[in-house]
Amino acid sequence: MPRQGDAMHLRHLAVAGGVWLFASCVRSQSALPASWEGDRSIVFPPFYAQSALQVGAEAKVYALDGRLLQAVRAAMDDFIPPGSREERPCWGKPESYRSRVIREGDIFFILIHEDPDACGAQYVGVDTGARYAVSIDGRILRRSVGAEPDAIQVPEPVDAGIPGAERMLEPESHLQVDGGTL
Amino acid sequence: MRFDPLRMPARLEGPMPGTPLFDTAWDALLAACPLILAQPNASAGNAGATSFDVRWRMSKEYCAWLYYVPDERYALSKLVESSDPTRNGFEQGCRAPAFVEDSRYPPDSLKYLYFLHNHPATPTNLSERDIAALAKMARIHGGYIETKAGRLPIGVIAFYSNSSAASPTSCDGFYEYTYGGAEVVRWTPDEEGHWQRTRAGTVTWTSGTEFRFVPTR
Repeated sequence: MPRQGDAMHLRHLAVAGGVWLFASCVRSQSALPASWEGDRSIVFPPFYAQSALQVGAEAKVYALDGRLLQAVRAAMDDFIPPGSREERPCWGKPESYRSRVIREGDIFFILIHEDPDACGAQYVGVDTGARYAVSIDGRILRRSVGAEPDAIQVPEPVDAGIPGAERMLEPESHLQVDGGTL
Repeated sequence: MRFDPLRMPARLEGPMPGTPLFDTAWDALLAACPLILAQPNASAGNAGATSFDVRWRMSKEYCAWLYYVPDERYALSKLVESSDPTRNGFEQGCRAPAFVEDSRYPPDSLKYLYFLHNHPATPTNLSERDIAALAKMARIHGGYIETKAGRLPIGVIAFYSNSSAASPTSCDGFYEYTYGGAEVVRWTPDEEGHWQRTRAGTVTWTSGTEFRFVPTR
């Protein structure tokens, strides 16, 4: 994705679930408890206010930021911890998800959502997946699941949004295509 | 109902026990709202209330189908609660089979009008994932169904309650988005019980699966 030189730019990117597999050189955060929510003063931006830049189309070349991959991997590893050999349903596998990513300053906001093409037409799911805020050094700052309200109870929310900044970066694509392009 | 995540059935059973066939979809929606919100932990109430965090962590989403039957009436399926503690222990949301079986009718005679669920806390709105789910529904069932009332777009509904105290009358309103629409609509009853419609966001589709959703703030 193009970089524009400074952290004032926000980018919206959609990445297929398989991307994290390729960011193997980053360190991982120790497992977070299921009830962990992190800093609830962090407010998520709307992930669909803009169209996403789709990353992974066939026969194109992409240059992906290492910190972006690190952030997506941290989020996906938390959402679906790697290494388990137990049998999983289709929606229990990272390749069944896409990640929609917005960078705002030093924070990556990531929406992990089901790839509608991944698990066939057997079921319909609402509010599955999760939202994450991940720091530029790969630490998960906030986890939100379901249809959680914004942090309105916090007196002075720290919205990581930057007024006037350009928004969004979302990598989204089919797994097999992404796997071949990274 | 709960399913083994590895063995989700192809069809969800209907009707919901104790529910009749409804003459209108609206009647079915108004019946479903308190039924869903009265389920255990279906409402954590308002996010500004005391001890909300505890209730939120315990809260659950339930989902069901509102479907149209050959008798030209509307029915509710059984409810699904699909949280899966065996996987990561924290994911919420609700997954249900894309089809319903109702022993009163041939399986392929049913038409799917609304996918219903609750949002356990307020303030809320339809989520982006709800709208994405509707896009998947449209791919499975088609975007419209033919009824006695004419051709209707299929939709997704999120019921909510401002109170964490479950009661048979818990229903403070719901959000609706129908296939192809430009708006997410919020329905709330006024003091006299008349339902009022307000815009809760705008939706613009850029392809069959990509859309922009700007919630009303």
